[in-house]
Amino acid sequence: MVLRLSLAMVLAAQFGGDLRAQLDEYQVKAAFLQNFAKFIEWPAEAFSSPSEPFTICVLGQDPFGRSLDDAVAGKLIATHPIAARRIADARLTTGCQILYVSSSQQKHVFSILAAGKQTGILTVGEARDGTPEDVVINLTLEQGKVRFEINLRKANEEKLHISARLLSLATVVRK
Amino acid sequence: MKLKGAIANSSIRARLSVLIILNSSLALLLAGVALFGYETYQQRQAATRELSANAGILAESATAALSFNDEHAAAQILAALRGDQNIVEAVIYDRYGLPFSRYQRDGKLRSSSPPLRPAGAYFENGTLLAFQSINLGPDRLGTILLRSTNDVYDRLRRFIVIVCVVMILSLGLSVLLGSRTQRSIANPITALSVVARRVSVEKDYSVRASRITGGEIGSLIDSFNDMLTRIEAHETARQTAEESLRESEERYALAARGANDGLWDWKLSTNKMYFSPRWNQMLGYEDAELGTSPEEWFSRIHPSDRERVMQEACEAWDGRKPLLTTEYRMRHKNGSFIWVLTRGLAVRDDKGGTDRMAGSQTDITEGKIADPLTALPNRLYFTDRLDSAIETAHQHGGLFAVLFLDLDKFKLVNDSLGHAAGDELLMGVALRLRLSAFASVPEGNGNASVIARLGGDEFSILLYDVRDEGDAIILAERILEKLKAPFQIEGRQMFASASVGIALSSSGETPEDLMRNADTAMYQAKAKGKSRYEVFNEQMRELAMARLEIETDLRKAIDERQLVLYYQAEVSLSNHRTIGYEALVRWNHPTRGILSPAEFVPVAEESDLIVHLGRWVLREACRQMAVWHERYPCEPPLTISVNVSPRQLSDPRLLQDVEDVLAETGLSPRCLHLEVTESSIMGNPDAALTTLRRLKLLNVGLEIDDFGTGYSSLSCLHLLPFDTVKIDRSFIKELGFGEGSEIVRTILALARSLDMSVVAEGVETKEQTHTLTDLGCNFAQGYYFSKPKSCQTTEALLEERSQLHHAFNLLQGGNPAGIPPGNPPGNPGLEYQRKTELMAS
Repeated sequence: MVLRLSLAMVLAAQFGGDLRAQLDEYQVKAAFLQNFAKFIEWPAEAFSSPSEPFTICVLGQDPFGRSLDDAVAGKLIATHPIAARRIADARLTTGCQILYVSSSQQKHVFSILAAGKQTGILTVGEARDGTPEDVVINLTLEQGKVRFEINLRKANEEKLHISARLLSLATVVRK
Repeated sequence: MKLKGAIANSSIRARLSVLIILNSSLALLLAGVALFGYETYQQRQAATRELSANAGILAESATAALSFNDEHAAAQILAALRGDQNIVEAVIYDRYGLPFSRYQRDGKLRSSSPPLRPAGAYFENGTLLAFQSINLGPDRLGTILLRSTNDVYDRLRRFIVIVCVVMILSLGLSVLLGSRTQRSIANPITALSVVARRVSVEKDYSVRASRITGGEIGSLIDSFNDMLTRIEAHETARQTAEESLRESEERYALAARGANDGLWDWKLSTNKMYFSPRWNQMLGYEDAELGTSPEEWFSRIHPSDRERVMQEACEAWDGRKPLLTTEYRMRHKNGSFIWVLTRGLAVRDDKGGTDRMAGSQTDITEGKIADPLTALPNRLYFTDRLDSAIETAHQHGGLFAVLFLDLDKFKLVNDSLGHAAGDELLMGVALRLRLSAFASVPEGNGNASVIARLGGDEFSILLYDVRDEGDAIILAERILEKLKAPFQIEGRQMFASASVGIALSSSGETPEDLMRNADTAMYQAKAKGKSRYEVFNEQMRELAMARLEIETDLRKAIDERQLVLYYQAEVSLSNHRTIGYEALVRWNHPTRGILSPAEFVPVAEESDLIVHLGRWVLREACRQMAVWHERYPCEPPLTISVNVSPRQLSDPRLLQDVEDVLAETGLSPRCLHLEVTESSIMGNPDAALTTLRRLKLLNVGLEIDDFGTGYSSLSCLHLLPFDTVKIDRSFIKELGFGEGSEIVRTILALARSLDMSVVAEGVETKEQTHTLTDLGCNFAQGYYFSKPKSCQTTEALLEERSQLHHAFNLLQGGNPAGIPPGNPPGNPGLEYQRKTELMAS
């Protein structure tokens, strides 16, 4: 209940306002996103150059707000400085290593993505019901704790190599 | 201090043991400590490394869990530590230092996790804490703590135990093994000290330490032994010296005691004299009555002797004489004088100076007045008494007589039977004299007569209160009578006779005069025929002087060629030819004319003159005969017989003299005959035998003279290397009367059996020659054939004979062998006549 409320707040916060609880969750998730990067290897063609920024794209409604920017500020993933981008359209995913797809956009995205045949994107979603098959990592919330599920098949499709350590943390691993 | 004392007195073994133990302990301890420290350090390091590594690994594993806040995952990770027994706790702290996940091994949940510390390892309360930061890339996610039990201490404890055990073991082993070395050091030293103690306790310096080891102790033992050897040598020398000293002291003490001598010791520096108890006693005093002053000694010396004695003492002191030996009179406590013999030696100190003289003193009074053998008073005493007698005679008038007695032929007895027999005879004679004298004390006479032995075989008697010479004659006759009885000497019977000389006190003034007179009278008695007495008269004085003269003259006579040799022919009884000559000495005295041997030979025999005389005779005879051999050679060559006196026989130079003479003269030894009387051999048969044998080796002829008159037993004859026996004239005189012929026959038989030729001496008649020829005697000598003739006469005869011989040769055509040369002494022409008759026919 509270989470729903937080989500709402997050949505509301897009237009300015920090809600502590809401921030906490998405701070955590933002950190997660960052952390995922640390445990995943992207294919070589994902970057054109070492100095190319590591981009975390948020598609659709941005539930993170500033927490994402704060989390990635000044950080690096290997040699790549992390950048956060918000995109409104699925066709603008070029150069995104991590694509957070908000739930509202979820269905759209995947069909676009599927059509685009882009690889090397870690798609992260938050499906609340059912089993999302299109994102590599699905964030969940269990007992107040953020958890995630990993779709290994999808990761393989994306040519992403996920560290065992990360896998071991995942609540579910779909192969 | 006590400890120090204890250490100082401890044995080498103890010290060595301590050394070994200390060494081992120290080594082991150091090693142990070092190892311990090192091990500890290593262990810690290892533990730290291990834990840190573990932490590192877990940190790495936990990055994701921490990143994603997955406590469960973190717990799972930590739970893996269950497999590690040592890790008791693990904590993961988040980036804020708050415990994120915790693991505890033993289940006892401690209240709180340990506080976060910077990364590193910490040892605390027996546990090791390793903090490791959990990083993901550049981000610090948190810290992991691993806490493990510090079983380091357990391990170390075990380690210590093992080290201790090893230490003890090695200590024990090293002590055990070390004890051997200890022993090899301590034992020799102990042995050495045992030996040393033994040596000092038992004072036995002959022990030696056995060299059971080498090295320093070995050389110590060697030095020790060397030292002992030296000490032993010193000890031995010292002991020897001590013993010798003791021995000589004992000897002297014994000698002194035995000799009953007094001892004296004079120290010049203190001028004190030590007189032994016996010294004091000798002079009639108590053991130490006399003091220590030399005056005690000097003051008691007889005034007439004092100066002489002091002189002699000085001489000995100065070293001019090596010994002090002096006889003198000393005043006895009772006032009389005793004769003493003092002997002394100057004792020189190291520097050669004399500070001490010491010696002995003997009472010789007894010896001084008594003859030891016969116990009769001696000459000194006699002279003394004579002195007194003269005094008395002067003062109170009266006559006394001095009798001198000399045993006839005593020398012969001494030589023939030995000195022991001679001594026995003297003692016997002394006894008989005493018996005679005691029986002859004149009536009413206070003084007994004094009988003394003057020396040798001479005795004297002082007869007091004589009226006239008749009294003395009575005594003399009695003595002679007593001496007629045979003596038993060494089991045999023996006869002795004496000659007695009597001198009355009126014949002289001094003791010397009287004694001389008696002596002269005695000689006269001797000369007149033995076993008689003679009373001194003035004529005798002359005779005595004459005797002395003869002796003196005789000494010169030899040098001044006053002696001549006469030659008496020895002839062969078969053909009366001369075979040789006997040389007889005559003295051509400047004032007294020709003296026959009987007039001077006895005098010569009294002294060594006879040896000179004999030597001269031998030389002259041989020389002469050698000349005659050359001038008048014949075959067989003429022999020359020379008399050898008894004294010559015992002269050690006789052999050399004969050899020298033969060499000098060139005379063939076979032509020299030495005549030795039977009696002179029997004196000392063994020595005579040796001399005769040696003479025989020279190849000279040996003739035994005066055979039958000596004391020999006939059985001895065959032992003696004689070639010829000369029968004494006394037997020849008896030929034809009674048993005379038988005796001669026996002698001839004996000689024949011994393969000796026989010469008859003193042949004077034709009958004797016939008898002798019948009896088978070979040769003869005597007035019948020829008297002793002078050299010239003999030579003339030889010349004549030689000419005759040549004449015969010419006639015969030269066959000297066929005509034996001969000159019948009695009938010069006989043989010649016969020969010519033969030739004529």
